[in-house]
Amino acid sequence: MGRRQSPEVNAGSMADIAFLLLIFFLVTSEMSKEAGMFQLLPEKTTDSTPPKKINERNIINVLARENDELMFDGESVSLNQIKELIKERILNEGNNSNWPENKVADLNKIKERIAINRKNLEETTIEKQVSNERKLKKAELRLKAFELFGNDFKTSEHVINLQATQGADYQTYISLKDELKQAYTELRSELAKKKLGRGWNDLNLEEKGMLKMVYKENISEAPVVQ
Amino acid sequence: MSKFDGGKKKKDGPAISTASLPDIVFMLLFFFMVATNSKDNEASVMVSLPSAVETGKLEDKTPTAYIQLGIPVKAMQKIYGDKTAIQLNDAIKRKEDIRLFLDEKRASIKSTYAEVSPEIGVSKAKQMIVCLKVDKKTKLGVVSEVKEELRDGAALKINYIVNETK
Repeated sequence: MGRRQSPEVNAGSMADIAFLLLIFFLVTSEMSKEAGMFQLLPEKTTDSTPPKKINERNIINVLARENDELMFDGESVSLNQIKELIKERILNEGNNSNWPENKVADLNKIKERIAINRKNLEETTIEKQVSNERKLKKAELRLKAFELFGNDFKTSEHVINLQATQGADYQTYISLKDELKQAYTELRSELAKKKLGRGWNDLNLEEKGMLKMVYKENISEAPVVQ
Repeated sequence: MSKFDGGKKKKDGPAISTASLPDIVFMLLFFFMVATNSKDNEASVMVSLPSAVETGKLEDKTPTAYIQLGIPVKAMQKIYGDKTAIQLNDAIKRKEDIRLFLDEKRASIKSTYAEVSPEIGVSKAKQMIVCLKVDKKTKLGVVSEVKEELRDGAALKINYIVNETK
């Protein structure tokens, strides 16, 4: 069986190996997945227009301070207490007169809004068509949410006023904001479990949208305090 | 295994095919293109992001501008000191430069859409989200100053970049 020549090295599969490697690197190397927390800043107002007056009872004050200290409505609290406190205030089940106002959604108002939006859409110009269509969809979704959640569709008038002192750490601030957002998610999830029998992660986009209407996030970031 | 026995002859084998060499080179090229893409500007400040649970993903289509806040890297500390500094594009700048930076970003967004339709460019420039990459040890006073600058520059949509923890 002695051969004169050794067989030629088969290079045909080299490309396959190369591609395999390429895919391996692509899959395993994490391209630093960045996630973000979105925030809309308030518009800069000129001095002539006074800021909108908010009823004192509707404001929930949270404050991040130096050394990871947190304050909730003037009282010192720890980070893991915040969530429950916020949920309690937003729900305001005992109708405490010092806590944010809670109103059951008004069917007539919802229908009114649909009618207005429909009319707007008919008279709309091409440029505004998209935004008007979106508004109408939102109004209709609101009606659907009302039908689904009924008396649980309460709109809270609360505003969470997120403040920080000059010397507070950014991580403290982000953790606090994170807790606030988690409070909303838990509220939404609880209602979803009650009415739909599913948790937040098992909902479709429309259902999530409806729950976001019921518990609308309202966090305002104030400038630093001394 | 008898096949491979007795291969003692020292004859010149055939040349090893180099047909796949281009593939390998291309693979390397692609790999480096992808790997370096995420770091398109050089870091002048050290940023260790804070972590949070409730986060959202950025939509790919929305134009973004990055502002980084942190302590300058070792090599830069001689020039810029060891206090929190602001990095715009790839250089350390003063906070007064933020507005100029925003205008530049908006102009570049508009120019990318200029051929397609200027109106889209204008609306895209309005949608621009400013991503804040802030070191977790940064004091809120500095962050707040930057936010005020952004408000002055009418860039109201901001996004705090965080590490997602689940």
